[in-house]
Amino acid sequence: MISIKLENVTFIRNNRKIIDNVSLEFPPGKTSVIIGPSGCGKSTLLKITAGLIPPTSGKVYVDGVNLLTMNRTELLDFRKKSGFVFQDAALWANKSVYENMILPLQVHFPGMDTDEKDKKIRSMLKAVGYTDSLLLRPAQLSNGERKMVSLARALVISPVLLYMDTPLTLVDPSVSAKMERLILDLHSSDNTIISNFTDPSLTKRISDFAAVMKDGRVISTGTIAEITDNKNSETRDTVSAVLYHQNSNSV
Amino acid sequence: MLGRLGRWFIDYVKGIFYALGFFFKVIKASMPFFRGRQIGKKVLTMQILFTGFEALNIIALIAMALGAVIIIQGVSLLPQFGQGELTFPILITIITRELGPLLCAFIIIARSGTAIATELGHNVVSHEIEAYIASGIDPISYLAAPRFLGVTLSILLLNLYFNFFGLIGSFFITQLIEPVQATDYFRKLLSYLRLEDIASSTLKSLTFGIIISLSSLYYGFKVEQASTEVPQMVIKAVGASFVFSIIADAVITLIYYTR
Amino acid sequence: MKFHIRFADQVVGFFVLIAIVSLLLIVIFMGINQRWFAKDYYFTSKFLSGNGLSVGMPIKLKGFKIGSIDEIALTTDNTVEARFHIFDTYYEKVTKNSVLELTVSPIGIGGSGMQFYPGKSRELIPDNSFIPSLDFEEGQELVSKGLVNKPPADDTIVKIINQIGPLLDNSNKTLISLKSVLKTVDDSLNGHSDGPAGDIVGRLSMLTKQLNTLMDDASGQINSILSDTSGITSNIEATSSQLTDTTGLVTKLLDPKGSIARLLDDNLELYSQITDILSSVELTTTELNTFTRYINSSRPQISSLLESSREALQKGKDVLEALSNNPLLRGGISSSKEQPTTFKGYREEDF
Repeated sequence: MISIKLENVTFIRNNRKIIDNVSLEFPPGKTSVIIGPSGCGKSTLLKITAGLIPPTSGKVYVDGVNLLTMNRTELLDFRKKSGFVFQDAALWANKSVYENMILPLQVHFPGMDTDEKDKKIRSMLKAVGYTDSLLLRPAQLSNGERKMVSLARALVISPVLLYMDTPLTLVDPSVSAKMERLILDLHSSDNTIISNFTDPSLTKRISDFAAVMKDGRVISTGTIAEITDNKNSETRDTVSAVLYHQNSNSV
Repeated sequence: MLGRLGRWFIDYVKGIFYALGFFFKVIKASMPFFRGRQIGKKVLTMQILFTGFEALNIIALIAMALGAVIIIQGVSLLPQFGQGELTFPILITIITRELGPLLCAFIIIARSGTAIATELGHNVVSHEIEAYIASGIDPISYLAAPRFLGVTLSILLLNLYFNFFGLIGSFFITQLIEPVQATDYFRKLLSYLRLEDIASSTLKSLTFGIIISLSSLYYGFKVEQASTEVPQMVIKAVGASFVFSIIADAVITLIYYTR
Repeated sequence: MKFHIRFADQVVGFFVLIAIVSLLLIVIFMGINQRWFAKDYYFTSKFLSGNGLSVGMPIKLKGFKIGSIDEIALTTDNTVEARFHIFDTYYEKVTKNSVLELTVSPIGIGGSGMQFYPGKSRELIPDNSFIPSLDFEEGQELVSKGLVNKPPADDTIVKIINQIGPLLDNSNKTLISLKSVLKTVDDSLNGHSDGPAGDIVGRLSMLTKQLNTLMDDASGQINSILSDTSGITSNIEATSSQLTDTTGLVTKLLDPKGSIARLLDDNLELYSQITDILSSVELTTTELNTFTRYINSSRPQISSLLESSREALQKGKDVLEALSNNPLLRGGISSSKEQPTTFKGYREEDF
């Protein structure tokens, strides 16, 4: 189980403060959800937490070790344990589905037998519901298929820490149901999941811990019940807008 | 006004240090390729294929045409002044030392420099770079280093081919127009060709390769969010490649003639 | 998938391999051609000046490169020391008493050269020995003693002069021809020539004189004829007036003492005079006719003569231009536009 802690994290882009002095600790082995209105900095905070974007200031600790000062071995070990599902899938355009899947395995399991890799890839794609050819390029796939492959790519190395940036958007209901079941399976295990789901019902069902964000700041943390009943009106308004009004702009 | 100027200067100096840091990182990441198996080996192979092999036909065409023109002019014009032997020093100066490496560089800038900057820019915009990082793959090691090595190696090889086609291939073209005795031609060519010429040519193409690949990579990675930044950065990459290649050419030529 | 992408590894392998192998082959051939692997023999020599000396300068024996200069340095006694090597294939030529000669072209053409003259001895000079140059007494003495196999003055200047010599001879011949042509034309015009042109002009002159004399004679005779004619005219006039008198005309005509009788009865004096005049006029006409025929027949020859002169002058001009634009000195003979010949018109005429 991996614990992630943010300490005074600020991120500025083009003179605009996108993340404003965020200090947060995600409980290990639990599913944490970042909720907030669109454009509040959820995706950016998720990427900073995963070490994909270096913050302008502040620190990110992984099991007590500063992610930004990790050496190559420590960093590679952290990546081997973690997976990231991108909002726009972010599949490598010049590689086939199979090549997209095999590359993380080649990096983290160089000694793994080719047949074993092949077996792992096929079973993972089957688990997310991908049934098309493995030789297709991302440009030849539908949005839903891309999301499936993106989730499969993140899970193929069997991570214990999973970051998911709105994994179920732009996915048709049948695919969404299959992927949702998979996420719930992951939730029931000891995996640490940090995500920003758009589906309020899934969010309510899955989250063990929630962080409410507004304008780049974390205004409240706790369980869904705690943040819903929060005394702070700003938190309450934000949570009710995101989780209880289907037409709210929570993305 | 003064404050703005100061800020611009500080940013400029920071930019230079950032670029130098980037270049150093790319060169450092390229070293493991010489030691053993690398995950980016296939990327290196493909880069040599696209930058080197696929540019071979245009390089051959230009080199043979240029060489043939020099030989035909040389064997028909220079003997009138009693300087027929000058054909070979002129041929070697143009094909091997001066124009060959520079023409190869220009072709590579146009073909591969633009392609690399565009591809990397799009990789940044579509978050593919972040996906590499998330998968534990260092984009510098996996994307930049093989491209740096591939372009540099390709331009070195293409320069060699440019010389073969310019010095040897052009001879056969000349035979169709104004026959020249083969043994005499090759004997004289080999007696005028010096190791310094080959060294100068190789050094130039190596420098141009480093300049072109690093400029393209640097500006490709400099794209931040929008796809509209991509063409802007491609233009900058091409401009920087041209300018630094010409400056490097002038410096190496100066060193060659003042040694 | 395209062939070269499917077999990318093999294609790139070939691409790299061919380039490296070709480069190696070229370097090996360069080495063989430039004798990198051959053993050379090193020697030193001294010269008065470094003018015309340069590193890499070839050392030649009878036009063949047998070695080259490696180093040149100014010594403490202000002479120039040169270190050079001789190819192993020519080492047998480096015999005792060999000398070097630095030839520098004073007019800057043909460049300078280092000539090697082998000694007449059969003993070879060992590696790293000193070989004297003709700049110093030591070398000159070897030549004056006849110990050096040195052909007479086979230097660059002589070669240039040898090349200029035939050119100057040709120019000289052309000038002489031109002078002769001009003299012939001059003589011809003065009528002193023995040739056809001179003969024509001489005869033309003679004819002119004869014509003048004839004209003078004819003038006197014509004057007397004219005065006689005047008399005759007045007589005829008188006769006519007398004839107008119809009464006495026939009588008078038939009269034995009449005018016609008297005209015919004057011992043929008048008749003879008229005959003489007519003979003179006929002679003059004949002479004039002959002269005209001469002139007519001489016209093509005169034209030909003038055409030859024009051509000779054109050649002379080309020769002078060739001398000034000598390829060794300048840039050769410039192409000139041919003047249209005036002779062509006469040639086309019928004579």
